Amino acid sequence: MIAVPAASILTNIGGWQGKAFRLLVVSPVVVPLYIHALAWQRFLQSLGLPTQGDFVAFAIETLARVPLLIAATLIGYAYMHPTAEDAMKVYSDPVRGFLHITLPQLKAALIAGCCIVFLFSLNEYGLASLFMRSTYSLDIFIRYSATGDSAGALLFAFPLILTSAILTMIAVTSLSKFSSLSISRRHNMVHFSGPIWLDVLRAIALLFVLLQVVIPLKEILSLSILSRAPVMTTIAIESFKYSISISLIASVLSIPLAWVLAEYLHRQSCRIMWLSLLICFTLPSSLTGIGSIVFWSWTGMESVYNGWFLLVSGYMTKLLPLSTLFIYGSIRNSDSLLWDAARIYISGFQLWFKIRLYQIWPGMVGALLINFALTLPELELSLLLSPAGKNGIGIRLFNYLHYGAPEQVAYFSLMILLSTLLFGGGLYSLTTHYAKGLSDSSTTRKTS
Amino acid sequence: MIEVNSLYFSYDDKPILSGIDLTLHKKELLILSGPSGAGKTTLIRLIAGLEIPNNGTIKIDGKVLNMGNKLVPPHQRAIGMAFQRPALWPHMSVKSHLEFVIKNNAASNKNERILRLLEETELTSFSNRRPDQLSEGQAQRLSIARALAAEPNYLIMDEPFSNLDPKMRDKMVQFVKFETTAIGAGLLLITHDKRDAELLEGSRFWLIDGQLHKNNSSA
Repeated sequence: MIAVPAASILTNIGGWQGKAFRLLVVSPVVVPLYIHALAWQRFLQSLGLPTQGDFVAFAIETLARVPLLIAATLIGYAYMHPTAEDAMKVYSDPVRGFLHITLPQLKAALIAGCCIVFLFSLNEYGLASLFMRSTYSLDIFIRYSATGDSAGALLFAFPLILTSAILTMIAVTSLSKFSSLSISRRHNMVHFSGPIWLDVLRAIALLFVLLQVVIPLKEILSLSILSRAPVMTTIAIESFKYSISISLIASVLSIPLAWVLAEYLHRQSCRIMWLSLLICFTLPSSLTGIGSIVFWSWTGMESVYNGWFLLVSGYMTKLLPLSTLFIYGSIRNSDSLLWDAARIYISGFQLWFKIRLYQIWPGMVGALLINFALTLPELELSLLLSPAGKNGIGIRLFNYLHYGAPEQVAYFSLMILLSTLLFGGGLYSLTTHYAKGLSDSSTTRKTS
Repeated sequence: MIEVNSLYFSYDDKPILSGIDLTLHKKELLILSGPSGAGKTTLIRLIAGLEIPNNGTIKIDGKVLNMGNKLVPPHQRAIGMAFQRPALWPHMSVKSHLEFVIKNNAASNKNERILRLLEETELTSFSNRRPDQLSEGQAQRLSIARALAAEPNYLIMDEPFSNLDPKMRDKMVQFVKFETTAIGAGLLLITHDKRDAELLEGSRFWLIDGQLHKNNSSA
């Protein structure tokens, strides 16, 4: 109800301003829920409103998930062909066109997005525990932590696994609807407003979305910059450095594996394979963590079991489906004729480096960025898989929140945000350099 | 009557159309030709209300359709349009496309018209198929049927016969001519094909470097 009207405005903003605005609105996806909770609780407190209770938790979680659904809706819009939209304008008024033409075309993206949001909310427990509430996935974690009984935890989690499998299957089926379509560029389209009530509804939805961006940002900035409290302790800085290293290693290592998987899935589109891959992403992190512990606890694997790679492997299990999806999307949206044409003239490494890598580059860069952003402040897997004495920044922040040190949380949240921006900037400059390198080499070849 | 007066349009400061004057009466057939990139598609998109002109006016039946950046929306212009690409809606069947466009006719008339259009465009046996299950030619015929379905006052068509084989092409040209005459609509058609123009027997214009010429020799 919020994401679709808001996205319908966002998708119509052209030029670099539109791109920047859409990026800004979608960016809270990578901010952990407990940071949203801190910001909203402080904001509500400043207005004299209640900061605890089920409704507050529900409202915060709902608003925090909106950017994810906006991203899904914007992807749905990107798959709509502009000429089909023009035809809609010729033959129907905006409301009828939206209900009969636009909405049915967004259906696949919306169903997939809703399933993912539902699963994320079902499996999340950081926010619920901040609000002193117990959830199913938290119970799985507590039960396993108390007994170490992985089989018991798995049995206890069976209904959740089943639900995740069903919803993941629905999401996979919806995603497969994109198969016959391809992303189209939208050029300066003329937009017509609908009846006034529709415009008001869309404006209210966009207002909610903007609040969701502005309030966490404002609270983080005001707490971290204006606060005079000592925020930088050596131990916290060590945690931050440790998290950055782990995130970088896991993000980079998952890419080649994801590429191989994406190529395989592109050739042999197998729904069961998709299901088994995506369920790794949608299952609760506590189960992924328990699985990693069981997997690496074989005799002879002690060095992994007690070291940093255990957490990296857990992250990779979580990240691989998402990275595969990004790279697969790039392969699907690249022109297969270009690939076939290239195969006539070159082969081997040149073919893969100069043609395929170029085709999948956007997906690869997107996957790297989202991997880094999701793992840097990650909490649930870190709790289970971090080696003794090594706490990531996610655990450190969660402890700060529990013990009432919001300045530290805000300061490190800002650091996380800046690191992600820096990483994104680095990837962007690498992309420009790579594209320039390719075009230079082809110019040189032509000249010679 | 569609009246285009002193129309000017530029894209990224590059003039595409300048000083276009054009009149299309009901029951008139007007054929527009010209080299690629001359601005033909832009001109009909401006008339349809899918682009905003920088200058000049467009009137339909005496009503001014553009006032600065404010446009009368395309669906209020009583036009039918066949795009350069079929521009079909991927979730709708062949029949649903026509049902969606014909809104106000009585149910019996509506069904009768849909059946006739499907028959004339040889799409009857494909009426339940979706666009991704049609060949390019079938998709283009559906686009033509959709443009005619609502019996518009004016019909704008952008190379609607380009993907059809010669036999089907001739049949569709004759069908469009017959149908346009029957409903009393004005037709503005973009085509490069000399034979289409001969079969339609309409007035021919050329658009070259953003300017409209009555005959090719004046270019």
